[in-house]
Amino acid sequence: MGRYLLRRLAIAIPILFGVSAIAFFMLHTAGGDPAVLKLGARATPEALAKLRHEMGLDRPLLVQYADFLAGAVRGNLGLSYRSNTPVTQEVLSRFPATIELAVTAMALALLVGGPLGILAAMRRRSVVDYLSSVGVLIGISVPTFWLGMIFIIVFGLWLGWLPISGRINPRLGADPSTPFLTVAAVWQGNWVVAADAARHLILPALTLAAWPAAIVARMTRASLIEAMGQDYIRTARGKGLSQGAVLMRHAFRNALLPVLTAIGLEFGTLLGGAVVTETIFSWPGLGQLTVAAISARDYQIVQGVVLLLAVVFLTLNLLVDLLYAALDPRIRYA
Amino acid sequence: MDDSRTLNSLVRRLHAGALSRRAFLTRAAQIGLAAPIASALAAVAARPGSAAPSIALQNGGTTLVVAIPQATVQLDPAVAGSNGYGDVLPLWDNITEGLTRFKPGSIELEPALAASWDTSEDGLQVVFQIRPNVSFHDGSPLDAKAVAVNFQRQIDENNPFHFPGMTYADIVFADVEKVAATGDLELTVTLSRPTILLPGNLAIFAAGIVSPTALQNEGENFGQQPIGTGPFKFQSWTKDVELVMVANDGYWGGRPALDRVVWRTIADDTVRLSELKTGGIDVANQIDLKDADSVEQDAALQLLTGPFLNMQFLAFNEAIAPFDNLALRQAVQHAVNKQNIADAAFFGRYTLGAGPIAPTLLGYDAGLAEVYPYDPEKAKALVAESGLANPSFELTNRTNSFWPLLGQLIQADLAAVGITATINGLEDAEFFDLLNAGQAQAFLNDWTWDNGDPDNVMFSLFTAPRAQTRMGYKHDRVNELNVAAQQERDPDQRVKMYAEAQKLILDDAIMVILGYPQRAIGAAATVQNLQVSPVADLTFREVSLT
Repeated sequence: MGRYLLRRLAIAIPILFGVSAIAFFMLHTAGGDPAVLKLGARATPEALAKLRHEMGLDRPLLVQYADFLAGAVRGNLGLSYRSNTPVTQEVLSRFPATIELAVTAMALALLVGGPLGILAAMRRRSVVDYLSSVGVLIGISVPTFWLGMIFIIVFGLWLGWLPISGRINPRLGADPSTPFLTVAAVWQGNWVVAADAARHLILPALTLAAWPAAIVARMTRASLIEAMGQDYIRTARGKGLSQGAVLMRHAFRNALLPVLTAIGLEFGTLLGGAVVTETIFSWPGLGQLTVAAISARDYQIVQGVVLLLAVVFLTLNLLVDLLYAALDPRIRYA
Repeated sequence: MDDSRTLNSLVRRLHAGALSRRAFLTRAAQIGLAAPIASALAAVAARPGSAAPSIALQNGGTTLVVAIPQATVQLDPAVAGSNGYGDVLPLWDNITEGLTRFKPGSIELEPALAASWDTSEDGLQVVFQIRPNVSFHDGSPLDAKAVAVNFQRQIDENNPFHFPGMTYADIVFADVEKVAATGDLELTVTLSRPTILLPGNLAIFAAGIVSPTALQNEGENFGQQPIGTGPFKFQSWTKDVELVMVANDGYWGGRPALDRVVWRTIADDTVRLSELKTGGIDVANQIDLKDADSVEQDAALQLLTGPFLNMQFLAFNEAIAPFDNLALRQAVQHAVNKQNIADAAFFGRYTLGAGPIAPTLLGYDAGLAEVYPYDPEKAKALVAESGLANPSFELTNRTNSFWPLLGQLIQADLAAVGITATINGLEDAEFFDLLNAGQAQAFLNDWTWDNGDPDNVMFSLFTAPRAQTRMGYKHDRVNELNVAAQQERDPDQRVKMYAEAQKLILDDAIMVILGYPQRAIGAAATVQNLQVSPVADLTFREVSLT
């Protein structure tokens, strides 16, 4: 097992190198000059040349990449072009808000997608099944930005039930960059802030949850149906177990494996996929930072985000594989 | 991270039967979540000034929440312009002030940190009397020496406080040769030629005066916690998200009525408007003009509009084909339906283009609109005269905001007279790359005045080097007039000079002056005294909430 983990970690290194190289060269060949953006439309060619030199952008790409790598292996990802603050600080300070959003969205997705999938599997070809299929189709195909806008207009503007954007009502005075604001407020017993922060979470989390909820529902349904057709289910039924017991104790457990894979991978996608949602809802997380950084050609920040997400993906994949072994005694890693 | 070791032991315990599978799952999941959380938390805790993220409630006081579409990134006024208006607005006459300022809602100059100023006979020296008894937010006093430090750091590239991105130094201090504190409260600025533009330029945000003590202490980090003299003090911010400033009790002009102003960044027009309509924010800057009517009709809201010193144009590059052909340039001038642009893109809140100088400025001449009236027939005749069979070109525009729409409207107008325009939509970064390389055949762009002087567009667009780079344009008489007008003290003479220069520019047909859009701010009906400024600043000094 230890050797397996070591091997996985060893594989992670070339993957991270590859990711960083691809991100670096894609960014730098995308066109657009960060110096021009920084100096604006009015800059003189001399000022531009000087700033390019100061930013190190006049060096060959390979030298720039080597320089980036040399810093990166020591945990130094450089300074943001836009604000001159360390990239690690900017990126990590935005991460908690994204995790908060992604975890909430995933919880919502499981809460909705799981039962829906089970129900659909139990009542195959019933109205419930068809309705859930339609729901899944919508969840998968509706573009996030559109769904977010609709939520804002319906629940925020028309019905006035929920706040429209941001993480907290600015009039309350709480710092919107507080990590895990909702949890922290509950922890401190600050119920006003906790309630307001939780209300701000709902719309973006719902928007973000649509896709994984659909995936979870579909996977649960498919793998439950497959499990229900197995011999051991017939045996369980033959023993005289109730339908619920058969389902939950025998079928569901076995059906969980593929669902778990889906959840693990979707969680990574959620972290990255928050880009659109965060931008619409002015949610101060990684996604919003990434969009701002890309349009300002703040290469350093984008690199930092890409690397962080790569690490998260690798970790999640590893976790899923380990959970496999735990759930299914037939799987052993050595 | 040492979670691999922890995981390892978990797995070992699982295999040894010491841990049920369920317990393993729970713990492994905890580790999985805890690892990124812990590292993120550790990094956040390491940030200066936020060691213990305690959540405090704002107690009492009036808070005004304003939303702007742009991000706030760094707050050194001398560098602010390099990241766009998100950085400029909170600073400009809110946190930092210059020696002069514009009266709210106008381009009329008034004294700010300078109580008065005098220009010498020969026009080469301007002596400013610094306002007495003013202190910075950090308590250090404002004197002539402090102002001199601020100016020198922008002019002198070897100054220890000269940071990358001081774009506006070239504009503000264009003709400044020397800055010296000639008394405790007396500052003498020596010019290299007798231009009259200095006092107006010093009202630009980039000339905002900051505390030299803070510069000394913070160095390049100054932009993370600005210290000025303004009516509001910087309190806290989350970059790109929210910035909080609070009333400066010791403000020399009297404490502002608002206790706190929170600047939020909300990029999306619809979201910003929805927030305004539901009371989430009090002021929405830059309302999309298509929504202006709905704000106006809402009893709980008010729409503030006004002229905005901005000019939109379609520029040609006469150095490369096909627009090295005068007749073709003139054909486009007659082919573009400006009224249609005003209606379709700006919902009527638009003044049709005349000359390069925008309305409300010295030298604006509405009559210049008659030089190239909309006349498709004449345009067709001019296309024929150009000798070009089926002329075609690439029309470059930015992909944000109303630019693609303008591109399409113009494309259709041109198609009607036999000119084929292919639209090349580019993001800002690539757009300016192409322009600066002098490779755009024709492009849509605009110019926003930084100060209230016609020089800002006349010199910057038609005489400065960018005229040649981007449009291949160089006209000796125009240059002569633009430079002379910078030194002429008699306004009537200046009007004459600009009249001639504008006429020459239009004769060359180097750009189609499309028009001058209005600016709209949406505000709650409770917001009092907020003014729409022609130079796009948003000051809260005199604003209150009922």
